[in-house]
Amino acid sequence: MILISFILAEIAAYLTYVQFVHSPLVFFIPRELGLLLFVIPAVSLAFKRGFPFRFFTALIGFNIAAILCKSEIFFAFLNTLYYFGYEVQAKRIYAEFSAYHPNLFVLLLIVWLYVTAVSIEGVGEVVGRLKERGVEVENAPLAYASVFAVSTIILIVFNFLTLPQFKMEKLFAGLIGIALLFAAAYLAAKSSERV
Amino acid sequence: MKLRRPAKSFILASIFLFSLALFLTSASLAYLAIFPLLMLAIPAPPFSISVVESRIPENCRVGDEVEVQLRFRVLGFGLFKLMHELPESFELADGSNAKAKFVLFSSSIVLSYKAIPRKRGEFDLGKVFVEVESIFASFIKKAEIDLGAKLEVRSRIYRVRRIELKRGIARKPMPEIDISQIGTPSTDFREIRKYVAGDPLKFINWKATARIGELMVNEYEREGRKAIWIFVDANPYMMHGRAAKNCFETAVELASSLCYYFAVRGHKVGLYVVGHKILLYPESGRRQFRKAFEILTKLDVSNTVESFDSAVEAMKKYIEALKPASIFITRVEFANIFNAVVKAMGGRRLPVAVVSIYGEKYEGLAYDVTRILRSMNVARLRRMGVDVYEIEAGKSVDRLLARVAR
Repeated sequence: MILISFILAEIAAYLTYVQFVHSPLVFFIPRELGLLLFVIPAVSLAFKRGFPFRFFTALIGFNIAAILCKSEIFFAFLNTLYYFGYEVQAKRIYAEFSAYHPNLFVLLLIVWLYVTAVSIEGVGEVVGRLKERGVEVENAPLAYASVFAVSTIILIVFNFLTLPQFKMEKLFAGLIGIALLFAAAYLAAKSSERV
Repeated sequence: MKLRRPAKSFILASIFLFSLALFLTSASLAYLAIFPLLMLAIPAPPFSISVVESRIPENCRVGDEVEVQLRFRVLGFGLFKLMHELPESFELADGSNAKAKFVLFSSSIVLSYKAIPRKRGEFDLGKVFVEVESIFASFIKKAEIDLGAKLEVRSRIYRVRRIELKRGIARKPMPEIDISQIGTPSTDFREIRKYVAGDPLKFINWKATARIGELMVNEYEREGRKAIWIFVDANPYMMHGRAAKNCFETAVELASSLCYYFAVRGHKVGLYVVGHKILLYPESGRRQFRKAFEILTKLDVSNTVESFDSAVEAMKKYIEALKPASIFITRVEFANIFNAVVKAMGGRRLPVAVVSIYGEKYEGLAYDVTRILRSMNVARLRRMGVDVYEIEAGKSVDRLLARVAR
């Protein structure tokens, strides 16, 4: 299952690279450095991890332009540069970043790819351990498929709920929140119950 | 519930994104930090599991193949792992006592296997452990099903091949042809001997008395056969060897077989478990064997040590009354049985046999020391006129039994 995880990591690397080459970061960081993203998952395969956490942080790092362009802290930093006499640099950075319109869905896709890869690896480890002990595992492919299906459903619902166009009645949202709280309490209670 | 590696990764990713969101004051990143946590929001859906069919035998003998079939009805969502707990001394012969299946809402899981018990005793085969992995392998939920099944594993009883012997003075300690020293005289003539004060007058053989010129009486066989007393050592040092094939198991197997052999042949068989101070007063017949067998089946080694000397001392009055032949089953290198043997022999030279059980051979000084010690003690016992039989733990007692019971 590390192979599936590796493929997901490579897809995440590709998405990041595309976002990176179109971001203002390419003016400060060599474009070729972005190609390293494709190598890291291959190296981590040697450590039996298809999509390690450090690689995930690296991906977020290469996508940082998407966050910085709307970050008040970042603009405060540019003001500081300006105040201390680096006017040209501050203006240039500001011009690059303020004109940049990132696709935030790519960030969400990267997070989704990461959690899916980790989950598939986790299921793979469980199945592998069972097989090592000589335990027969039925419907194992279905377990991987369900991870993919459920995480995709969560992605779609999450994306829909976070869309700027999506507006929910406050009372309705509150009721959903209370219902979810009760559902969570019920699940927690059932999980500690003995058959 | 236990946190698994994926769950830790989700939390770590969320903390990382949220920290970055705080640092850069980014609402988009803060939203993203929620996404990995949503995976944790569906930890493990509730499940239900019920037993549809349970086929577990109630009793068997050591070494017999036990066929188990369990069928469960499962409702839930996730990877279900079921394991029917087997005692350590059971060996899987076919199939597996554990199975995993990914269940999508409803399914049935069948556990079908064959196992061989290698140790006698009463075992609880009623526990089935259930583990359900959540869909993202982030949580695990555990449950336990009690089937309420017990399996009684009985010792294998070895049958002794019949050996023809001539009736005469018993030189072996436990001859089947030996007669009881006490009891009601039967009508079977045995011999003519000199009159002893107390002999009934009706037994005086007048013809022989007239011929010899001295009072002679007819001696008749006594009803019943010689009493046998089996001392089984259950002291902690008997637990030597593998779980299924250790000195104690061999001792129990041998004691059971001897009990059966003598009890069904009309001998009064008594049993004393050294270490537990369990006493079974001598009786004969199959009922007596069942009593002894019940004790032996549930027997385990004791936590405290009891010496053979004190065991025989406790049995002294029975030995004096019944004049039994005694069989000691022990490890002679550990048990100091010399005084006990002398007491069991009594002044009338009652027959005594010692079965010495030794562990499997292994390389090392410890084994050599115990071997030398055992040889010395065996030689000393033989010099005392005791019949000593040696057997390796875990080996079939079949051949030894034929020699001891002869």
